[in-house]
Amino acid sequence: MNHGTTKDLCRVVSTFVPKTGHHTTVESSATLQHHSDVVQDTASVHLEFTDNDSFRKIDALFGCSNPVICHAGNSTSPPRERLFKKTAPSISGKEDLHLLLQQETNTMAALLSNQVAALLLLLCYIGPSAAVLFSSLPQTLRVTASPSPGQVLHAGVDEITVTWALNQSLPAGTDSGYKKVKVTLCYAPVSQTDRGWRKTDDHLKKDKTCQFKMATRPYAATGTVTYTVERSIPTATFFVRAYVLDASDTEVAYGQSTDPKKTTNLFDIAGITGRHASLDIAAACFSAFSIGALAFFFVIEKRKAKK
Amino acid sequence: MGDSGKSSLQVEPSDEQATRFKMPVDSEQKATEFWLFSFAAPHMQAFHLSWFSFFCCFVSTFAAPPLLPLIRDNLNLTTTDIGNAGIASVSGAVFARLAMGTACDLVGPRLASASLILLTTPAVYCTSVINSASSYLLVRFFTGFSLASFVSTQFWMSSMFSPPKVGVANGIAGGWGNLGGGATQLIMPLVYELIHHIGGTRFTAWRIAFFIPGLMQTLSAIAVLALGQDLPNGNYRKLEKAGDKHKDSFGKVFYHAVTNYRAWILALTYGYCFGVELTIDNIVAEYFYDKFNVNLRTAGMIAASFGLANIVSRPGGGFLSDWISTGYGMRGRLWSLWVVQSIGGVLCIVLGLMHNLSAAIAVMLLFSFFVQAACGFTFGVVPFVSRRSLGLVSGMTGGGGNVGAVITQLIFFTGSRYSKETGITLMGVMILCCTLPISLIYFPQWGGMFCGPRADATAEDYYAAEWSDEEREKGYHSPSVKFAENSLREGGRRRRPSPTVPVEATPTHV
Repeated sequence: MNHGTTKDLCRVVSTFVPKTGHHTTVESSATLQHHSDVVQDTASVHLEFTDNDSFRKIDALFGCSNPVICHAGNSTSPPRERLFKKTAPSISGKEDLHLLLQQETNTMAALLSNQVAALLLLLCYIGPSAAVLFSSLPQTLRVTASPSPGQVLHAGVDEITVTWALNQSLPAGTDSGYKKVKVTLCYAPVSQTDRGWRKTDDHLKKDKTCQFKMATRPYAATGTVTYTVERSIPTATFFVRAYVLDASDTEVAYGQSTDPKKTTNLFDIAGITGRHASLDIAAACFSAFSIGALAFFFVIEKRKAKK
Repeated sequence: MGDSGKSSLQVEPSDEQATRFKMPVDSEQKATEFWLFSFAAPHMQAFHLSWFSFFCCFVSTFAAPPLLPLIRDNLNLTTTDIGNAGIASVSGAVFARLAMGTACDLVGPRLASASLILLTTPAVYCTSVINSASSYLLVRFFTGFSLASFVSTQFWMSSMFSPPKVGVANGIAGGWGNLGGGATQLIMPLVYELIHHIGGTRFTAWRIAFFIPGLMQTLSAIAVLALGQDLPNGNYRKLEKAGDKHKDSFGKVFYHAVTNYRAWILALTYGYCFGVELTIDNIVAEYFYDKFNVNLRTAGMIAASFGLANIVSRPGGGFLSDWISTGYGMRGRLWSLWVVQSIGGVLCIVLGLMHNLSAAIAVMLLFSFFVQAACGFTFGVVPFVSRRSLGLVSGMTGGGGNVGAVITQLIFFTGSRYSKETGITLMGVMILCCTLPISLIYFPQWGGMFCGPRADATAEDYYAAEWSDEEREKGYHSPSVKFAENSLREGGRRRRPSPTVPVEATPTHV
C-alpha cells in the first residue's frame, strides 16, 4: 500500500467540438491523479476551459462503478477550472472510474450549440481500492431497538423490533443512492474481549462485529422490522446496526442503536443451551454401560484364573 | 520385508511351541515377521486391536478443536478458556502415561489399556452435557487421559514382536493411532453436518456428534478385552497363577526405570518430536486461518493433512530404524534418530519464515514427515533401554512427549508475547537444542553415537543387571535373558557371533 504517493495514472485529452456554429474552443484536459495512502485514494480530474461561457454550462457528472461517496465540484476552484474529486477507500480490488462529462446544452445554445455531448470515459485503475471502510460510512440513519438497556432476551422466544429513520437534518438528496436497508445484530465490546473471532475491523469485508442478519428491506426513509431471535444466536451482549446498501449491495451508510463507543443501549440475549434431557440420559446410560462392561470382564478374568 | 524372520540370529523355539502359531516366532514366542494385512492370533490380532483402540482415543481427545466455532459460542468461551483447555487436554496424559507404564508391567497391556479406555469414555459422553468453560476444561482434561493408551500400545507391540520387527510394529501402531488426531478434524465436522441436516439445531447437533467417538472408544475397548491377549502364551494373570510368569513388584520396576538415564534423555527428546506434533495439532488450523486468510474449512483440511501424514511417516520411521539396525545396529538407530529429528527442527524454523501459502503447506508437510518419523525412530530405541521396566520406560518417554507439548504451548503459544510464526520458528530452535542429548546415550554392549561398545560388555549383562542376585537365582530374569539373545543384531554387522545359542542353556559369559 503506497503512502501518499501521487502518480498520473492516465491522461485524457478530449476536445468538445460543438456541432454547429459557434466556435467554441473548449479544451479540456483531464489529468487523473492518484493519491493513495493507507486510508483512501483520491482521484481528481482537473478540467480547464478556455472558454468562459462554456465553463458555466458544463455539468459534469462524476460516476463510479463501485459507488462510494463522490464529491462533485469544488466551489473554491478558480474560474474556468473545475476540479472534481472522488474519494474512495483503498483496499484490495480494482475500480473502474468512469468519468462522465456531459455538456448540457440549453435551448438558447448560445455558446455550445446543441447536443454535443462529449463523453469522456476514463477507465483508470485507482489501484488497490474497492472494499468499504466502516470509518468512511456516514451515520445517516437513526436506529432504535425495542429492548431496553440491560434487558435479557431469550433465543427462539423473544422479539426485537427495530425502527430506523433517515436523519432529517441532513441535506435533501443524501439518500439518492440508497436502495436497501440491512438490519444486523452486532456484538458489544464486552462480548468481543478475548474473542478474536468477533473482532471489529475497519474493512467491512473482514469485520466480524455484526455476524447476524436480522432482515433486509427495500429502502424507505423510515421503516420497522420485527425479528424473532433465532435459536442459533449465542449468549452475549448485543446492539443493533442497520447498513444502507446501494444498487450493487455495497454499504454506503449506517445507523446504530448505540453510541459510537458502543456503551449505551446494549441488551443481552440468552442463547439456548442445546442440552436436552434425552441427551443427559443417553450420556449417563452409555457411561454406565462402559464401566459395567469393564467390571464384567474383570469378574470373568477372576473366575478364569481361579479354575 | 528385508531380513525375513528366520535369520540364524533368532533363537529357534522348540518345534512344539512353534507350531502353535501361524507366524514364525523366536524363543520368547514373539513374532519375527510382520504381516500387515493379517489378523493372525495372537500377534497380528494384538496389533490391530491396539492401534485401532489408540486411534479411537486420539479421535476423542482432539474431537473438540474442529467443532470449536460452535462450542465457543454455545458456552461463551474466551480465547483464554480455549487455550487452557487445549493445554489441559495434553497434560492429563503426562502422569497417566507413567501410571500406564507401571500398570502394563504389573497387570499386562490388555487389562491396562482397556481399563483406561473404558474409564475415560464417560468423559467423552459427558462432553455432550457441558455448559460452561470450566466443565469444558474438565472433560477435555479427563478425555486426554486416554492418550496414555499409547504406552500400552508400544508395550504390547514390544511384547508381541521380536527385536528385528519391533520398530516397524511400534511405528505403525503409534502412527496409525496418532492418525486419529488428523482424522477427527474430518470426521467430527462431517458427523455434525449430518446431524444438523437431519434436523438438530446447531447447539444440539455438536453435542450429539460426541457420541460417535464415545461409542468408538467403548466398542474398541471391549474388543481388546474379548479378543486380546497380553503375551503370545496367554494373559498375565493366567501365566502368573501357573507360575510361568513372575509377578513383579512396583518398587523394583520403578527403581530400575528412574535410575536409567537413557529413559530420561529419551523422555526429553520425545517431547520435541511428539510434543511438537501435539502442539501443531492444536494451533495449525488457527495459524493458517489467520496468517493466510483461508476459510475455516480449508484451514481444517490443512490441519488434518498434518495428522494424516502419520499413515506413513511414523511407521516409516520405525521401519527405517529396524532396517538401519541390520547394518549398523543400535548406533545406527541412534544416529538416524538424531539426524531425522534435527532435520525436523530445521524445517520447523523454516515453516515460521514462510510467507507464501503453498510454500508454507509444502514445508509443513515435509516437516510433518520428519517430526513424525522421529517419533517412530524413538520407539525403535525405547524397547532396548530396559527389559524389566519396559512399561515404565515407555511411559516416561510417552509422558515426556506430553510434557514437551505443555511446555512448548506455554512458552510460545499462550498470550501475545510471540506471534505464531515467531513461536513456530523458536520451537524449531528448541527442537534442535533438545535433540542434542541423544549423543549422550550409551549402551555398553552396543555403543553410542560417538563411542563404540566396550569389548567385554554383553546384552545379557546389561539386562541381567536389572535383577538382584537372589532374583537371578530364582530364574526371574529369564525373559530378560531371552530378550538379550534375540537382540544380538543390535550390535551391528561386525559384532554378530557365528554360532547360534541353544535355547535351554543359560549362555555362558562371553
